[in-house]
Amino acid sequence: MADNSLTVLRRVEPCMGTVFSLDVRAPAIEGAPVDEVLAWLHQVDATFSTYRADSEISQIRRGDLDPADASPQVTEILRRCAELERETDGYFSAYADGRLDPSGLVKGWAIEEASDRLRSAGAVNHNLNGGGDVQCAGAAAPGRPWRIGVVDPSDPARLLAVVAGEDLAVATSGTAERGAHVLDPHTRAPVTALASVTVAGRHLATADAYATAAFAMGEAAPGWLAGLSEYRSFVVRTDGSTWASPGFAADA
Amino acid sequence: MKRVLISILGTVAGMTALLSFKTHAPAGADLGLPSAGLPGVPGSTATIGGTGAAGAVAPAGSGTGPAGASGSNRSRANSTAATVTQAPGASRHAAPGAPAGSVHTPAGTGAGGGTGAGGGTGAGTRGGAGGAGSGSGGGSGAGSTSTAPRTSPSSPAGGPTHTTGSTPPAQHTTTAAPPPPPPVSHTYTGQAVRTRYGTVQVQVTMTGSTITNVSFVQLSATDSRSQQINANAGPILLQQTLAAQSAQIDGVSGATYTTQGYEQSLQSALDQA
Repeated sequence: MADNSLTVLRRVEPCMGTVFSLDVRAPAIEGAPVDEVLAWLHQVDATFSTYRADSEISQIRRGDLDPADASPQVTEILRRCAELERETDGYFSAYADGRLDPSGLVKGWAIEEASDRLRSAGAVNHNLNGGGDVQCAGAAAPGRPWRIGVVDPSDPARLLAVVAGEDLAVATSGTAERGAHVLDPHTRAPVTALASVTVAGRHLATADAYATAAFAMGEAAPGWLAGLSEYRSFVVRTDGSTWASPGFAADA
Repeated sequence: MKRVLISILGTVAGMTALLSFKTHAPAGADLGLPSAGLPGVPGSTATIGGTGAAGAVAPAGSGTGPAGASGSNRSRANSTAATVTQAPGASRHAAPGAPAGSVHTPAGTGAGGGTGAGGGTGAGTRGGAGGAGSGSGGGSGAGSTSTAPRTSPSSPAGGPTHTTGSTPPAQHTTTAAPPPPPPVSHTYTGQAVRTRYGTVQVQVTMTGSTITNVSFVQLSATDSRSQQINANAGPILLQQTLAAQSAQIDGVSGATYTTQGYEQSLQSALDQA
């Protein structure tokens, strides 16, 4: 549409219970590879959705499918989940509520993988936003990094921070609009100490899982996030106070 | 089913003026960034690079008021990958220490949003669509005065604005300038999209090829919780759309689940353009 806009191709796709929004900057690519990537996202949803009785995950949950016999895609996700569980002291878990639910990784992973596929198809500069988790490829414009605003969880009408960079992923975990939905895998109780955790870095799958884990940590989140060398973070507590990772504070 | 109808056309700036700024400065941060965009959209963005190419987090500016353009702006980079960029917002044009509410808005700088919000009337934002490009998102979005007749028919097209006021909402003094050729605005209404949270239908105004306004024709919800969410989601989603064409923000991170119907309806409206 807009010829003076930086956007050369825009697509909106309902998927995984939310909306995926693709914003491609020059150079443009054809619609066909974009359609393929969007179709792939739906395939991922069909494979992993806990809302679909015929998904592999649902089959595993029912005991109808042995995880050892699952598809390579599912096997890979379960491996990553186990890895992330170790990295996060168990605060990220595919079994947060006792049953297998790798959703905490799947969306971020799917967005990142879809972004990689789009890049391979020639869309070297784009951002793909899935319900507020964003993977940016390349730059917003020549010499201009992507800028992603972080919503104030207590006031969605304003932004609290701006995350900027090239090849940037930004994931936010919080209770802002879905109610308490992050469980502490150790207690299986909803976590309410924090309002939101935003993690930014290169890979959305990792950033998303880290954000979820840190949110589950509650007050301990800043201490853990501070130890991450390649991911920066921003925490909003329920009292409105905020914390930013030391890397940021030092730079600022 | 209760229905909430929110018409934003023509009241964008008025609405934004009702939204107050709050300050959440991260501990240890010494960035005193002024804010002069739509509510919460920082008028200036500091990108502080770190050890990698990705992932600098900067606090959004803490506006001192709806017009919110005062104070100094410091940002620096300290690594090879670092970039320091400053959105063409009002901060460069606001003298350090200028009283809150004093905004001098040059054409097409992206500071138009701040002016619109500051005035609370949307009047008198210079530039507008077809201006210097970068200002079209925030500027014409919030103010949308020069080219969108429905938002401010009395505003002279392209007129420069010098807004000065000690307390918000600021007083406006608008000086007319020779009007440019009248731009053509078209309005497209998207399909009504029913989601499990309610019905969403948006209307898009395009001036030339630029989105100059987005409004909700329908924004209904089936329960009070969703109604509240919708009421909150409206401004941020509007902001997101306009920001997509501004020089300031390319996207938003955080849960916004009314997005579903909104984006679908928006896309169907844009498909007509």
